[in-house]
Order: sequence, then C-alpha cells, then structure tokens
Amino acid sequence: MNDNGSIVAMEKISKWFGGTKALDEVSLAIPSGRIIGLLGANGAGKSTLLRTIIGLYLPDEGRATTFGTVARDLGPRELARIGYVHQEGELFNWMTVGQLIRYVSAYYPNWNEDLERRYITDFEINIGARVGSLSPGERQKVAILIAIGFKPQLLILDEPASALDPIARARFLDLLLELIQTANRTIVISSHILSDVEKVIDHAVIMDHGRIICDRSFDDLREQYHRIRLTGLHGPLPVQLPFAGVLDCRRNGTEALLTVRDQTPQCIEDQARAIDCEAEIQSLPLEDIYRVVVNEK
Amino acid sequence: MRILVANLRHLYQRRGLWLVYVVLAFLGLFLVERALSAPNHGGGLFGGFLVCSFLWGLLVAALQMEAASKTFSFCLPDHREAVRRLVFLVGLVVSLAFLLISVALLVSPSSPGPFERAITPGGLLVLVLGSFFCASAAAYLLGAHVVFSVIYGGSVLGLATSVVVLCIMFDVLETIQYPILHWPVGVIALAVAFGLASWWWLGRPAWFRRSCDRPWIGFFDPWDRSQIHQRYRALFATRFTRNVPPELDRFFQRVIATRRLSSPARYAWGALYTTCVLVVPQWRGPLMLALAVVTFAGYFPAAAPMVMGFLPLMTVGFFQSPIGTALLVAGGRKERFFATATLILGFSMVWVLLFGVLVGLTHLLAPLVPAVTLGGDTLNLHAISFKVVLIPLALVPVVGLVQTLFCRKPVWLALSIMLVTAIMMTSSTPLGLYQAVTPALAVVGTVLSWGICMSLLYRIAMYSDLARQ
Repeated sequence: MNDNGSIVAMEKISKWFGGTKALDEVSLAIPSGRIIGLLGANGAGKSTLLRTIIGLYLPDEGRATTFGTVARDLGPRELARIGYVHQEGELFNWMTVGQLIRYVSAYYPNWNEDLERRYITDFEINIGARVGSLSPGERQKVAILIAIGFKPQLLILDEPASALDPIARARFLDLLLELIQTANRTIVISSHILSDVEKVIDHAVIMDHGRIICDRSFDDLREQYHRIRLTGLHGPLPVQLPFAGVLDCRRNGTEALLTVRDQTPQCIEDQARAIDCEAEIQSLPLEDIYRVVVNEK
Repeated sequence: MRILVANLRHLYQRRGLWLVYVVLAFLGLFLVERALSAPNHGGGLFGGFLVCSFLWGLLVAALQMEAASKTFSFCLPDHREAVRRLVFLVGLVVSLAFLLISVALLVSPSSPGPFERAITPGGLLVLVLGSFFCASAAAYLLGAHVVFSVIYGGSVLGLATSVVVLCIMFDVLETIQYPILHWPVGVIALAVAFGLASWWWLGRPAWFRRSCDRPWIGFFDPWDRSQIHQRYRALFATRFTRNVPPELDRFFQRVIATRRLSSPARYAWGALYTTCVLVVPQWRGPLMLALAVVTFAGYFPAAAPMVMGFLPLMTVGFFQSPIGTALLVAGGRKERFFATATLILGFSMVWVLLFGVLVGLTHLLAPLVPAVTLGGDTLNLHAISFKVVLIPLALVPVVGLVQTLFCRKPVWLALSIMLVTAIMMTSSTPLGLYQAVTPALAVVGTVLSWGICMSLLYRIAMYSDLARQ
C-alpha cells in the first residue's frame, strides 16, 4: 500500500508502555474500501495500533493521521465518521440498552434506525435490560450496534466477535459484508478467530512483537502459499522431491504433504508429473498462513 | 503435596499477607498493652485475646474463601474437607497460642491478673483456662462465619480495625471476658456446641456449592481491574434497578441531537445526561445523608467544614470522567475536556444549592428548635456559617481530577480520596482555622483549586493516553 488516498497513514510509529515497546516503528497506510484483518498474538500490539489510529493513544515517536488529520487532533467531524468496538466492551453499565442506544444515536445525525431495528431483531437484543447485567456476548452485540448504527466510513473492530456464539458470529460477518458493499467504506478488524476473519477480509496485516511483519492483500498471500498432497502413481515417492520453497514436508512411503511458498500451481503440477506423482494443490487457510508467516520471521 | 499443606501455604506464600500480619499484630499488641496497663493489671486480657482470635478468624476465612470462590476449586478432590480442617486447625493453634501467652503473662509476678478474683475458691484455674481456650476458639469461628456469610474479603481489614476501635471506645474487653471467669462451664458447653455446629455447617456440600463462583473481592483483588469491573457490573445489575423518568431521557436526547456536531455543548449535555441516569434514581440516599450531616453540623458547628466536606467527596462514586471513557462517541479530546469540566461544575452547583438550602434552614430553625440534653450535655442547634457552602466548589474539582487520574486504578483512587480526607481533617478541624477563613480567602482557595485542577485535566485530556492498557 502507499500513502496516496489513504484514510489512515502511520509513519514509523513507536509506542512504549513502561519498559515494553508496544509498537516498534510501525508504518501503515489504509486505503478506503477495504476490509483489513489485523492479526497477531496476544501482546503483539494490535489494540495499541487501533487506539493510535483513533487518537486514544498518543505515539511516542512517528506520526499518525486519520482522514488527513493528526490522530491526536481528531475532532467531532472526523470522529463522526469512525465506529469503534472496544476490546473490553466498556459501556455505561448503569444505563438500559435502550437508553444507551438512544444516547449514542443522538450524537450522529445520520443514525440509521432501520439498521438499528433490524439488528436488534436479528441479534435478539433486549433493549430493556440493564447494560451491567448483560452477558459478555450480549455486551458485544450492543457494542457492535452502537459502532455501526451510523454506518461509519471507517469501522474499527477490536476483537468484536470473541464472545459471540457461532450463529451470532455468522450474522455479524454477513453484516460486515453488507456494510462493505457501500463504496469507500473501510473496516479494520482484529480477531483471533481467523477462520471467521478469512471469510471477509481482502487484506491482511500481521503483527508480531509490535512490528508489522506482513502487509499484503489476502489474495496475494493465498497465491504465495500452497499445500500439496503428493501421491506416487506407481510406487513410493523419490527420496529427493524436486520442489523449491518447501516450508514443511511430511511423508510416508507413497504420500507426502508439503507446504510451499512462491510456487505457481502450474509449476507444481509440472514438477509432480516429472517424478511420476499426482499433486493435489490447495491454498492455505489463513490460520496456517499466519503460522507460516510468523515462523518465517 | 497434601491439600491441607497446600492450603496452609496460603498463609505465608503471599508476600502481601505479611503486611496484613503486621497490622493484626499491631492491633493485638495494642489490645494486650491496653489490658495490662489497665488499673487492675490484666483486667481485660482474656477479652483482648478473644478479639484477636476473632480477627484471626476473619483473616483465615477470607483466605479460604478466596480459594473456595474460584470455580476450579469446586471439583478439586477432597478440597472441601481441607477447607474445614484448615479453618479448625488454625483456630485451635491460635487459641492454644493465646492460652499459653495468657498463662505466661498472668502467672508472672509483675502481672497479677483477673484470676485473683476468679479463682478464689481454688482449683478453678484449669477450668477458667479451659473456658478461655474454648471461648477463644469460638470467637475465631465467629470471625470465620462473618467472612463466610456476610462480607467481601477486601473489607476484612476495615472490619478488624473497626472492631478494635469499638472495643477500645466502649471499653468492653472486661465485659466480654466476664462469662469466662464467672460461668466457665457454661462457656465451655456453648463453645463446644458452636464448634460442632460449625464443623457440620462447613462440611455441607451446599455450603461449597453456594461459595463456588460467589462474587468475592479478595485481599489483593482491588489491584485487579477486571475483578473490580466484574463486581461493578454485578452491582449495577442488582442495585441500579430504577430508571430516570422517560421525559428526562427525551429532554437530554433532544438537546444533544439539536446541538451542532462540533459544538462542545453537545458533549457537555451528553456527560450531564449519562450522569443524571446514574444519579437521579439514587437521589434519596445522598439527600438523607446530607440532611443528617447538616443536622450534625448544626449541633457541632466546629465540625461543620469537616463533615460537610465528606459529602462532596462522595461525588467520586457517581463521577464518570468523560476524559477517560473508552466508549467512542464523536467527541475529540477538547470535547472530552469540556464535558468533564461541565460535569465538575454541575456537581459543584448541585452541592452548593443543596448545602445552601440546608444551611439556610439551620438559620431559620436555630431559634425555634429546643435544646437537647444528651449524656448530661446540652446541645443547641446553631445556624451554620454560609462559608461552608463554598466547600463543594473547592473540593469537587479535586474529586474530578482524582477520578480522571485513577478511574481504572481503584486502589489508587481510594488512597487518593483518603489522602484528601486526611488533609481536609487536619486543616479544618482546628477550631480557630475555620473561623479565620474570610470570604476573600475562601474565594481565593476556590479559584486556586479550579485553576490547578482544570489545567491538570486539560493537560491529561490533550497530552496523554485516554485509554489504559
């Protein structure tokens, strides 16, 4: 990505918490109209990065701009275009869900009441319940509703689905896909449930120990890494397999399972034919891609 | 490792507990010293040790409750039996230790104790010592039951201190040891019955089921923000069941929505709304407290600044600083600061108005209310000086600053409020100081308080991280 036309631009951002470097010279540009998956282990710096984008955290070094404004100086006009689901789901516990929704909606002139009604029905939200009495999953549903109710141009989701049940998660992903159909809407989603994330993202940013170790389109990543199931057509496999870029190989006599990088399907098939084998080629799921990328670094 | 041994290790493995031991030792020594220095040497010694046993019961039970309330411990094999055995084992050891210390102190020629009176028939010494041992174990078990049944672990130290202070204030040590010396057989019988009942009670599966996952803030949990948040949520779910009138909801929502997007007033109204939703349904409590405090201040006008200063400090329980909120609405840093300042002003005004009305009432009622005689003293209702009305104006900004700084650090928040209270007590209690405060001085103090607190709040809002790790 480059900075041209980016709605978020971060240049060499570093952030310390005491002796811990949470962000280490992070540079990132987020163009509009993308769903970006922000992946990383606990403590990798994902939440810090997201909070820096919206100006909740101030970087110790570097510069972060969102909608062309330095993140620290984001004002009502810019923030009215940003929806944010907080990892800890901090809400006003003493309000009822209905009060909270009305309170938040009062801030946004473009609040979409149709979307609100549909969401409340689909996600079975009890608007009369006290927020403090909600289960973690119910709190998360409410947090998502108040973040998307005004159809923000930039939606930042920090572990939004961790407490949702499978059905609610599926509905939530459908909702994200529906939201992204509007032109120039951008979603940044941080999640540990990679099987869910891979259904919606078109770009992946992988973080490790405060650094971005991978910032690529998801399609490129899927093309870069493949899994090959190799079966000998007439007897056992040769001792030496001819494939380049092998990251992992498990074999037993006539079969082998390989993980390779930077090999085109055509090239793999040609090489398999050369050793009298049949190759079944699959793209790696995001979870495996993540593991491979982190291990490679 | 045996389960009993593992549970015993709680008593020394947690280094923070050594601080608790120091506090308990201090309280115990204070009681013993008090008993020994009484006019009749050793007059309340048994009573002092009974209170110490009670404190030990609180401590040991609190530690066991911390383990029993964790869900994983419910399924640990034989853990239930270990809790009961440990509670009784420590109780017996503690009672035995106090018995030996008592004997050592009482048989010492320099400390003639209460035995001189109690053992006059001769041969009663063993019976009285047995009675003391049983009573000590019963007091220990009573402390354990208080923790198991009533309170959170985190408040054990506060309860312990209150018990000691009350014992000293009302001089009850001799009274509570009276049955040990005069009805030893009855005390032994009652203590044994209580011990047996406790043994049965703590061994019931139902007790363990009820304790499992029980909301419980342990000794060191206040440092753990997630624990506190969990308890807060439970509190809001169970206690805050009343709502503001729908008209108030609609009024605020309309006002917020009709302000311009970039208008700071929009965010100020928002902060007032969320606070009203919290405060308005609870208005009776603070109002009754204010009435009681002003009445007290009317009868003891010298204490007026101090007791009336406590009420604005209570604001900290209702003040939710918009600067630190992680709920993102469209307001930026400046709007967050403005909303916080408005909230501080709002709270100050409410207290000033309330105090103004109540202080005004004392001026009206002072000539009419007859004097009250209490314990030989005649008390008159005095008209309280209107100067005290300025106290909330000076204090609420400090409360707002402290709450903003430590909204996610409950222990620091509590310590800061205690510090403010201590400063207030030391600076306002001396009689002359209160009278010496001129209106000009009060205004200068208020302006200074606002100036310092607002500039610090602005700095926090503009130049610091607004959400904590």
